[in-house]
Amino acid sequence: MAEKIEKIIEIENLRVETRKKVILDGVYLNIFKNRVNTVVGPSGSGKSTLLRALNRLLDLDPSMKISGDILFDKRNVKDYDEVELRREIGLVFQKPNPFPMSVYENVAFGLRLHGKVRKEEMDRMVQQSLVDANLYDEVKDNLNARGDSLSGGQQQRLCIARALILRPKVLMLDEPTSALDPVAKGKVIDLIRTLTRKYTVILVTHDMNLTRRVSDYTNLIYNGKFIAKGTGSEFFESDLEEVKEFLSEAD
Amino acid sequence: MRLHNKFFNLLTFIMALVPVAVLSVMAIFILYYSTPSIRYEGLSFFTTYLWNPGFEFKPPVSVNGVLAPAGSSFGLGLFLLGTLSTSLLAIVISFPISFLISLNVESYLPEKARKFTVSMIELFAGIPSVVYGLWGILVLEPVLFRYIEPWMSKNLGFIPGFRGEIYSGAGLIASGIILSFMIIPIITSVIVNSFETVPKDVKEGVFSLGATKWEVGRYLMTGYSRASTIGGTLLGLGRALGETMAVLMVSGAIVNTLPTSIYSATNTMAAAIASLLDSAFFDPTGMNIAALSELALVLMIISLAVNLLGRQIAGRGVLRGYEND
Amino acid sequence: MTDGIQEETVLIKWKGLGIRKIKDSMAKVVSYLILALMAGVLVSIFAYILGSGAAHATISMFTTFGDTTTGGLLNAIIGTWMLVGMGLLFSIPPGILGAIYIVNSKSNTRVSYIVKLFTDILTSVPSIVIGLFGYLVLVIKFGFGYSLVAGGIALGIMMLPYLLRIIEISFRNIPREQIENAYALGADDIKIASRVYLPQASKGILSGILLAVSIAAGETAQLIYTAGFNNALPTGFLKSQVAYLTYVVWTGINQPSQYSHYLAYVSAMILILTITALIFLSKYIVRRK
Repeated sequence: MAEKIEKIIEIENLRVETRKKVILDGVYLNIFKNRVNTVVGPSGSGKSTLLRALNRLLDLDPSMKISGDILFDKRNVKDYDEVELRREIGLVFQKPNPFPMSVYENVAFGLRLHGKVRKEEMDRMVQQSLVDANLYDEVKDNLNARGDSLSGGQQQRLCIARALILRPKVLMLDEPTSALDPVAKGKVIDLIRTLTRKYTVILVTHDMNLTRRVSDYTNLIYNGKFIAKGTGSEFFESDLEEVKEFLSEAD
Repeated sequence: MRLHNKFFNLLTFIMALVPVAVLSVMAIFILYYSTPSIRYEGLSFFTTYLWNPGFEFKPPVSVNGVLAPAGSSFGLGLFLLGTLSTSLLAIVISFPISFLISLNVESYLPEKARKFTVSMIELFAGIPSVVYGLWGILVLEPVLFRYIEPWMSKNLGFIPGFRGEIYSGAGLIASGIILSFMIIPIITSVIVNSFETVPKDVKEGVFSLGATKWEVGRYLMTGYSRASTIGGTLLGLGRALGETMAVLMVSGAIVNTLPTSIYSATNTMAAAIASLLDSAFFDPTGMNIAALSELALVLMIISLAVNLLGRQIAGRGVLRGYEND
Repeated sequence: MTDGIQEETVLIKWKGLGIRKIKDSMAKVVSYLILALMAGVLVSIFAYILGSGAAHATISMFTTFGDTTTGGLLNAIIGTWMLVGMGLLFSIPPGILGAIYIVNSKSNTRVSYIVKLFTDILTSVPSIVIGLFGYLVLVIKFGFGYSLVAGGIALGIMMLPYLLRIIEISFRNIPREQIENAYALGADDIKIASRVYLPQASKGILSGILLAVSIAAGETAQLIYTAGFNNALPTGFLKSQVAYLTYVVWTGINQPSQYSHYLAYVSAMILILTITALIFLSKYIVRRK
């Protein structure tokens, strides 16, 4: 366990505010490569905003003021072209948002966006992404089915496959299990564990059971402030007031 | 109390039927007034392009059981051609413009400027038809005649239809341009309205995959909002088909001469009805009026079909280029 | 983590980022240019019409009657309002009451479907067709002659579908609880209509009426063969012709005398000013109040 774990993202003093309120108030956080990095906290604590700051989705909202530094692979995210950045850092939303098109087209969408690929190549890559997202077996006979005709859990995995096809370095999952039933939840949990082989995972959730089962590093955000972090069990045995309070409420 | 209620409900029921009644009555009467012409001309109404009101001073003739002026012959070919060509030209001009304006409002324009910009575009729809005609005659036609059409003929003459005699600024191009001012607000507002119904999720999803603003806008228009785009264009087409006064004033309103190029003067069904009706009064047989009624019938049917199709495809929330707040 | 897949997709990914950015910038520039072009055209139209109108307007045009070659526009101005007023007379009652029916009817959805269908169809009838119908049936067959009534009905036919639609939407925007509360308190349909529907939707209704008026004021094709023209004011509702501004624009510019042209310019100016004011008023009412 003494291997050098690389930090792929370093967040320094990230502050996000609108005119009305402060959403993130000076957050320091590290994301470790090829691990499941979890950000937990009660709803409204700014976790989703944090994700959107990482892939600069917040830039689209003119009312957001962002300050502080986010380093991705040692470069400030502001120095990346945002299109480039979003290829490397993929985001899967809380509520599955498949596009109104076929399963195949959903997954291929990103590929078509970024470059010209031959049909055979594209077929292979779509298949690979669906395999990576643990969805291929369930849809392989009907790739032309509409994306929104799948079940909730399948849609969620479809959105994951859609993000994976771009081979991002980091995959961010925003409350991936909150809209799912227990069986579907289980499938996503298994998936998360396998993803770290190829990707770095950032997981945002308030589901502590999920966290217990998959998280390598857990970070607590409370009221926009970063409170505590810890590896695996470290976090759950923490003595910090806020952590204990959060854990007791969450369960 | 009960009785009052019943009476009131009956009243509202009857009032709701007024549009049904009005439309039915209109359709029936127009059909009724067209029948002499339908009997007289038969299918040749649709296959000839000459419109000959006949000779008043000769005794009327009787054909197929109806009385008509001697030598008269009515064909809508020219007017139909004019209606279709002016409307199509208008669509060709308007669609890209509406596309780009919608794209701009959706992807590039700052949120604050949106209402203002949309209102500005809608203002085009509020200008009365005759005012467009006036501006067309005084401003557009001279510019077309002196600068634009000669330039086009010289430099774009290789395109079929772009080479021809330029007699005046009036004609197909002028009509097409004026019509496009009227339909750009329609198409634009249908598309922009449909953009507003796109869930934030979908937009954020496309952006998160690393799309540029242009790509997001393009996807929304051709993928997500395809129905609205097509439907809105059809509604614009419907409007152009029925437009009367502005076209009457800038088209040249010719009769019985086929256009040879896009610089030629032309005429449309709607404009023809408006301009020929008063001379039709003098036909004692009433055939001229019947022929114009038949023209109106055809125009009404075409316009209905296009509009209904457009509404069906685009969804119902559309009202002549005005938004409902 | 580099494996075979990672590397070749890097190749695919890097293709074309520059081009995509250029397309994005170009789309941005071109679309702004088009917007500017449209703004320019709008300004030019307004400037020309207002300018030529103002340049040739005289006080007497606003205070005397005229016949499109001499005199003034007062008869046309008043006549326009009279015709529009008539149109409202014919279209508001069916508009309001019909909308009440549509909003109330849950069980009779077949009827309300037909009503909505026919209303939609009615909006697509070209104005000249309405004019022709008005002439043949109202003026000739019913014997109204060129008149306020004939012109008013023609305008009303055009305004009705708009009003019906806008008023229906205004009614639908009333929160359900208000209506349900009123029913629960034992109010009958008439009371609900007058005490809940109308007051609550008054903004929307007024705005819709203003919009319909703005459209009607600019219409011509319906009126040419139903209202005729009058060098003075109509003497009655039937068989007496009515002057209106759009007619002056159309005939004025087509006549050889310079003065007719001036009358046309001033009429156009009045129309544009009035209609723009009506449009903005209708939007303002919905935003405030």
